[in-house]
Amino acid sequence: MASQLLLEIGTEELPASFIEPALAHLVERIGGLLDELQIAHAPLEVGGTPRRLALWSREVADRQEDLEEVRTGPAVKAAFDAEGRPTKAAEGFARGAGVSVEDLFRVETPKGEYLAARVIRAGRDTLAVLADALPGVLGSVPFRKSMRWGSGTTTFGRPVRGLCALFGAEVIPFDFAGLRSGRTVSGHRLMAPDTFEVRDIDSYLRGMELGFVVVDIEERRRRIRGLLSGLAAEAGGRLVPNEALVEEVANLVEHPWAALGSFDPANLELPREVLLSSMTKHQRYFAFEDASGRLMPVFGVVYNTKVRDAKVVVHGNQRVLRARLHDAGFFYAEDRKRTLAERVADLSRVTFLGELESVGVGADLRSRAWRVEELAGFISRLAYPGDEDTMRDARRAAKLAKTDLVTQMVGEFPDLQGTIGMYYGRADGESEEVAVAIGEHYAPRGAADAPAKSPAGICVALADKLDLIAACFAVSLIPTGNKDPYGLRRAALGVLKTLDAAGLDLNLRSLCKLAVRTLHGSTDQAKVHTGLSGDGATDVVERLAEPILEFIGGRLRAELLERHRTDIVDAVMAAGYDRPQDARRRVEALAAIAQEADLAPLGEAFKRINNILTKNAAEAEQAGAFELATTSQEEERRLGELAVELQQGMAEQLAAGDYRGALAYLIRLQQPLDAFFTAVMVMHEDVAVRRNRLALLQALRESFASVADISRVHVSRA
Amino acid sequence: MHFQDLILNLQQYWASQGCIIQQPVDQPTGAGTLNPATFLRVLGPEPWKVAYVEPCRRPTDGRYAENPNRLGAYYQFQVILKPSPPNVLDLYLNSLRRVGIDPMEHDIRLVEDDWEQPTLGAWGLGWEVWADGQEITQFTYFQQAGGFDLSPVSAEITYGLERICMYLQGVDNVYDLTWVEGITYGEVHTQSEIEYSHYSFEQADVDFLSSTLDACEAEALRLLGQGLVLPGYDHVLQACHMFNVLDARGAISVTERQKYIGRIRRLARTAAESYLRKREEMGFPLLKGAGIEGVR
Repeated sequence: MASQLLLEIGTEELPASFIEPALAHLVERIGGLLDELQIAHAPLEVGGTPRRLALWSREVADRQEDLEEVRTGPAVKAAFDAEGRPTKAAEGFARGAGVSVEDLFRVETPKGEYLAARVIRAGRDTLAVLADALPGVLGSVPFRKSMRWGSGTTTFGRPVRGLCALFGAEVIPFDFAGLRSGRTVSGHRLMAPDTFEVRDIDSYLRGMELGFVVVDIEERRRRIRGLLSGLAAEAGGRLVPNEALVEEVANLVEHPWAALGSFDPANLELPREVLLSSMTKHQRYFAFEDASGRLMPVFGVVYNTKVRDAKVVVHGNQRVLRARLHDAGFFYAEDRKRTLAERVADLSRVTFLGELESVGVGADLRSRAWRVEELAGFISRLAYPGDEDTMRDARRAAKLAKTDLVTQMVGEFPDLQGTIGMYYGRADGESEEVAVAIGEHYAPRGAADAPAKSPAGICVALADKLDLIAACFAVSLIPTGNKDPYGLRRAALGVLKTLDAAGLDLNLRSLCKLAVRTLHGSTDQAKVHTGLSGDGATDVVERLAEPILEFIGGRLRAELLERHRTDIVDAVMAAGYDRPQDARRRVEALAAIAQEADLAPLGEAFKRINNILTKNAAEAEQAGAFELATTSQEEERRLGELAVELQQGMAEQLAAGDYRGALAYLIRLQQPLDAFFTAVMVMHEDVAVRRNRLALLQALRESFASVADISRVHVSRA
Repeated sequence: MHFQDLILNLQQYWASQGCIIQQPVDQPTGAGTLNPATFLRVLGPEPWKVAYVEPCRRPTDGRYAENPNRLGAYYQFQVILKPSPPNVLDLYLNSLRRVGIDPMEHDIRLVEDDWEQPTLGAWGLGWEVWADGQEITQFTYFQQAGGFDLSPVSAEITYGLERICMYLQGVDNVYDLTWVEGITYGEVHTQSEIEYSHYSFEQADVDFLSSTLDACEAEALRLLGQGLVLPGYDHVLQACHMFNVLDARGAISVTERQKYIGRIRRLARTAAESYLRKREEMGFPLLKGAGIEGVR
């Protein structure tokens, strides 16, 4: 027999981002509990609004299946006496298991033969199981931040105000957060506040519908999309797509309604991003644009209550937006009184990283801008040699890139930093390349954001991030665990993504050294330039740059691991990653080869090579070059021939950047290498033979050294 | 609804809900939360229901009466319900109806808001309440104050009186609000806004403020140490105010700022400690003999 299960946790208004994770947790815990206890059930379904978390299943077995378990007792040796009669141990065990001695049987175990009993554990009623489990399940829902309320000690995302829990016709009896479960719920806080009794799932869902609550989250999203296309038609334009906002707004209401408001078209002179930010970020309004993609002076507001007259809601929201846009317009007019170039000096009044003073580095934004400018210039020389225009644009953009931080607009809209600089740069008459590079220099701003695309933008974006990382490392502000207050991991990933997207095969080690050198020379420009041509300070630079390179390498590894096997990534990274683009190509080549053949035995063979060479390091050092003529055994000669061919062939392929072709030798190496280790004794008593064999192994290892440490490959193909 | 009627209606309403109508603290303060009727009373097991207007000084927000939305001093209406009752949101919504904001006419929304005041060692969770997109109230379930976990938890409802009144009167400039028939908010406050802006930004004597702050800090710690909690707390408030004026005056550098905040946090913590100790010695009189379990 099966019954319906229905649970609703009534709450005060939960934050939008809390709802779906909480529901997912409930499904996992309750589904997991039913499965673990072998209670058959139809799929669990959920619904949720800011004021309720609901879960139901149309069929859940009334009782847990009877569980049969085999319990092991005493060893047979101890279970029967000399006459073969059961001992006290056997009788006691049978009694404890609730069976007679005759029902016991023998089982074979690693420790010998033992007596065993088959025990039936009667299944419990599902109602009782749920009544026991639900308080714990509800108490375990994780929230980004939890709270207490009233005189209670329970914690939850927001106060819990009602518990409806039904199994068939019965209330599942339990207490949570000082409340007793029951069968009543209520609808919309304002439109249907009275409680009503629920009989089953359908009466719950019907009651919600009548109570102006759309329980299904996807359904609310569908309705919001429908409402918005209605508003678009009303406005005579189209929605500026913002699916993230649809998702959020759907979880800010129990029932969506929508209306179209408008603002003074004069505001359209403001940067598009300022308008969008004012509407969508602050107020969670939707924006619309005309056929040519120009923003229209209207907005869509989704609201929660079917008010008597939507005009009142529209009017109120228009007032709020009007004030916001009025402020933005004021900031724009004020900011435009001075150019970005005139603001460069102001940057010295803004602290970037106070701790830098303690290591003799300029701690203000003016110093940082200077460093980024220098670094962007160096990078442009490496990335775009001979391109004087890009060098000039990159330096100019870097000089101005931070100046929008001292504008009122960015003070009001911090997430528009860079973007505002681009608009103001254009308005100041900076070249388009410079304006775009200012706008791009923070890119990529998140996991989903694209890296900088313009040459000057790429140089400034790289310089900005490398200086940030170098500065933080200089004062030991190094990310640990989940603490990364300066966003260094994101910056490191940004460096890698920028290089990757631009296809720039730059040497990261050199970039890190440049960043360190620029950082420590920032109070003395001359020092930097001398440093660049190489002088006594190089050791210090090397020492400071190494951990930065390793840090960025850590991000490279993490990124590669998203798509590739750990052993392959580690094998390649062990061969160096000074040029991240090159390391990427090597990983791809090795992964492709590993698709074709099982490299695990080769990994073993190379491990063996390493062991032998390490163990006999002193002798290996004196081994000299491998001589094919000195080989004495067939297996040795065959491997030797291949090694010679490989040395020449790989050199050509590596020079051509054909890692796939170079690594293809690995497959050909497998058999001869196996045969070699089976038949040939490396540490032969004859010194000449021994040294030549060591030389052979060294040559093999050397051949792959710049590609990957093959000894780290150990996973067989599934 | 005139500004004055808004206040009177809220007072009437919360009085009818069993709150005592206490008055503003007679010290300059930055928020209703600092009034001992909130900051101290939310500590410990004793129940407490209070409502009051609090004039709040925010020296850095002064704009010489030239900005229609920013004021160097403004009014909050503060309600504390301890412990927070189960129907606290309904009580709040009824207060809106009382002042003429009908939730069936306006879109009332509870928008997630985490409140944190590191200088007071205080934080809570709750909402900004929006009426048709306009923030009109801060609603907070107090979790900690002075670094102490609060149990029972208080609900703190803070109405931004000017905001609500501008909304009700449909005016875009705070100075145009009518206080009563024939008198505007501007006529009451323009002079003080201008004078205090000059004071905070140009005239405040930095040496005087710094030495007063030092003296207030020492006096607060001395008095709190002797169990004179409320006189001690007065000096904590004065120290806070000195800090706020120094800040507006631009006299506090970034590094100094952290130090000042640390000093004030210590004062707040010490005051909270002293208050709790004193109330315990007194047997938590507001429990009225019910015992700590009595409030549950």
